[in-house]
Amino acid sequence: MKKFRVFLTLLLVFGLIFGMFVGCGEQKQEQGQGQEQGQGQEQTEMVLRYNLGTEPETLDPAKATGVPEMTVMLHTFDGLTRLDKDGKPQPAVAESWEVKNDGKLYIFHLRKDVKWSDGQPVTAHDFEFAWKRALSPEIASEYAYQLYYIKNGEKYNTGEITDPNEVGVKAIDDYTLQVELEQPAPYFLSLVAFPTLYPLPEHVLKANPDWPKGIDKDPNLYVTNGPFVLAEWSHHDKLVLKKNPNYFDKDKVKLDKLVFYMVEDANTAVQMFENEEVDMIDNIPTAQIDQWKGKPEFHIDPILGTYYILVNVGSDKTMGGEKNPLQDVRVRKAIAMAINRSVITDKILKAGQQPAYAFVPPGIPDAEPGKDFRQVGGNYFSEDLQKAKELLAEAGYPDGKGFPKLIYLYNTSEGHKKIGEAIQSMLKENLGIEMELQNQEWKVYLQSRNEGQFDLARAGWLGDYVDPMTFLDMFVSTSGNNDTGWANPQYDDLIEKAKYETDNAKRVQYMHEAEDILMQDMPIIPLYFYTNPRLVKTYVKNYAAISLGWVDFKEAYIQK
Amino acid sequence: MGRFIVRRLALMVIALWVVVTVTFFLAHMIPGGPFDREKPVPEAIKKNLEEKYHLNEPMWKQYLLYLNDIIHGDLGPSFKYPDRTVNDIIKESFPVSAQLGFWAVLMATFVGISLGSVSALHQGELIDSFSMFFAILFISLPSFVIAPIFQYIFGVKLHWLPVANWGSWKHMILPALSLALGPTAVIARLTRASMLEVLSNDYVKAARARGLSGLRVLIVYALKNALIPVVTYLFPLIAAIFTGSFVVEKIFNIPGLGRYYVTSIYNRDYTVILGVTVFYAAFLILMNLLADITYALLDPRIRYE
Repeated sequence: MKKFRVFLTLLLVFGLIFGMFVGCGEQKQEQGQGQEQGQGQEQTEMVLRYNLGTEPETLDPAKATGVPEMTVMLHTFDGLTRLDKDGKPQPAVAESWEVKNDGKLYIFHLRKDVKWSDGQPVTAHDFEFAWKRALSPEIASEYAYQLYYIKNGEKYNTGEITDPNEVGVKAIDDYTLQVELEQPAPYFLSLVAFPTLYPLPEHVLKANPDWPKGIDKDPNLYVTNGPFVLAEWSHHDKLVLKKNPNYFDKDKVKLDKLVFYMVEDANTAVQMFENEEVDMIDNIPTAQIDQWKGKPEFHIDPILGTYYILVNVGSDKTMGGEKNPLQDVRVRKAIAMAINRSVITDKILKAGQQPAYAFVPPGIPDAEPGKDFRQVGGNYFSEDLQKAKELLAEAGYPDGKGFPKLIYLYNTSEGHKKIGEAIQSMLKENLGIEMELQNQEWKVYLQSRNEGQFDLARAGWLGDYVDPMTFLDMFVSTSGNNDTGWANPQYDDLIEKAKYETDNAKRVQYMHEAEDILMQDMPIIPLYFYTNPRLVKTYVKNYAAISLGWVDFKEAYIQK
Repeated sequence: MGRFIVRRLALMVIALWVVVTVTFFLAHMIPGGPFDREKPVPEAIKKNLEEKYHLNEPMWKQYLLYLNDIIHGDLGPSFKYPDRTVNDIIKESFPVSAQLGFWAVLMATFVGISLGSVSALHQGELIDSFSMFFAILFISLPSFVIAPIFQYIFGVKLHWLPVANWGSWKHMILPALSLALGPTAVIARLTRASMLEVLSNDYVKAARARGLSGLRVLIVYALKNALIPVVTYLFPLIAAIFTGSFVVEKIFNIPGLGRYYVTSIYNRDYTVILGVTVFYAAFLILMNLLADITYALLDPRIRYE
């Protein structure tokens, strides 16, 4: 009898637990079978699998902010324009446009054959609706400032005016969109390719104000106008897009399916790539770069970005009341000259990064066609130990004597740590300056930076659009990115002038002059220009790596 | 017994309230907020966002609002994923973690108890040293070491199993194995130790003296009493494993609940931090209650009055 009771007890316990989960077990089995069938079909279907690297936060174009979200929406939407391989805007929903009034008035003529995935036509009203929605305070869009170029956009967003009709975007008829700007913006045609400025299906959102809530359960709710439509979204697992049969330019779309994985662990992604589970991945662990170099799968794609050191030139918070030696520009220059950048790029990073002796990265066109802004601007300084020592001595710290210990702040990451350690040893050896490394978790680091709780801090910036302005306007005295305490009215003035200038040659000239000042005063010390190393299977053809970090698979195909 | 359970459930409500309160204030005390970005959001937009999520209200009011929501079973919207609610997140990801955890716990229990019993029966022999060596090995080897090795051997080299992702039963084997190895080893050692103690008891000797077979003595007489320490370990283990492991889920890219314990804190996603903490706490308390009930069933000397 006793043994029977024990048996029953154990059976009961396991039965209970098993019973709780047997339901989901069955469900999963079905899914598994479905997937195996799917794999059978893949032989005939053209499928490309790319690792997004993380779960998209949202697929609402007004609310999205990051590269993964942009990458997905780039395939589900078409804006007025679409960026090509070189980052130049090409006609998309707009087939032509007129620029009037010294660049302050744009009239877009829309194609008449563009349809939403539910068959409804895409009209100018959908743009007007989407832009006003993104600007409305209730939506609380973080990227609403992308629409501040539009007349009264900022005022409406901040509640200064409450009537959306005062915002400078208007559908004149179904296929003509008129946009008034606050100030001329030569990159406006690139900006309208940006997700925040995508059209939205007014008829769908009017019926369902909570859109896009629920698209993960019913992908058909995600009514879009791009080369692909949503087929499946399983959070933190995968997001599947399929070819949009209603797309106006569908003849150019060769892929039947695009599968986005959300593998966050970089080592796992590489192992999946080796095991033929994914066709393309970004973010290769530095330790593995050497072993991939020279192989046909290894690509170094460009990305607009600069890694730099923020210098706290204002406060003396971390110095315990002592005078902050970093307020002396000679000290900042000495530090900039005493860092051997090629050690960082060649020994630590290894993925083709270029040492930076200026702030704006290469890859942005200058005024004259065919020329690069960086090429025209050139290098602002060079590594020169002798000169660095002299400057430091002039500032009153010969061989680093009497120089207080500096705090170098970085957000916790193995890569930033290695760079910090390299700089630490270079400054000690070359200048006799002691530096203490301090790492903080990302949001704590942001707060410390913002409050000036650092002497030197690592920072990096990736461009939002292809123009020097996306880098240079960070350091005007009122910018939230300018955590250095540095303020130069001349710099502010040049940036302001560049923003209002209609003549592009003059505008670019102002920005060159602004960069001259920035590098002369050196509140930031550039270290290197980013690259985007990728592993791509050799059968993946014709994808467009856009220097803002996205990949466009619209015309990509697979050739095995 | 019935009164005991009712009393424990009442205590659970109080415990959960304490968990909610402490977590709420701790979460809001961490420096930085959910909308801090490298490019700071313009002041006006930040204001819009904070109004939307009631972050502009005084802390006590936010706390009362949250208590009111949670009493009604609403864990609130996620800050990081604006189109998803915390209820959705738990509903979607817990079954995945639980399913994986179920197989891991099942494996750990059966393999662990069998290995432990066999080792105890053959104390000091080769099989004992062998299994105890592996037990020590797997207790010391963390899953973030084992998992990539498994991926490399069974995925990249042998092509038997997928390296990562979720979908078919094949995707489950490696992560379940990585989760199970540590607990298997612990259970094996626990079983061995308590089994050795039980085997030296008079009633076992008596059973043997009467000529019952070794296996019969083990299963019918010894195992039941030897299992009590294992049960103590097993139920909290179920709570821990069923609710997901951050490391294993990250390495194998499994859409489970485990990631949220860590990422929600990085993101300052207050509602998710609270939601998953409360959920885990409730699950853990329930499992402990279940453990106590099981003691009573296993050992007639234990009575709850």
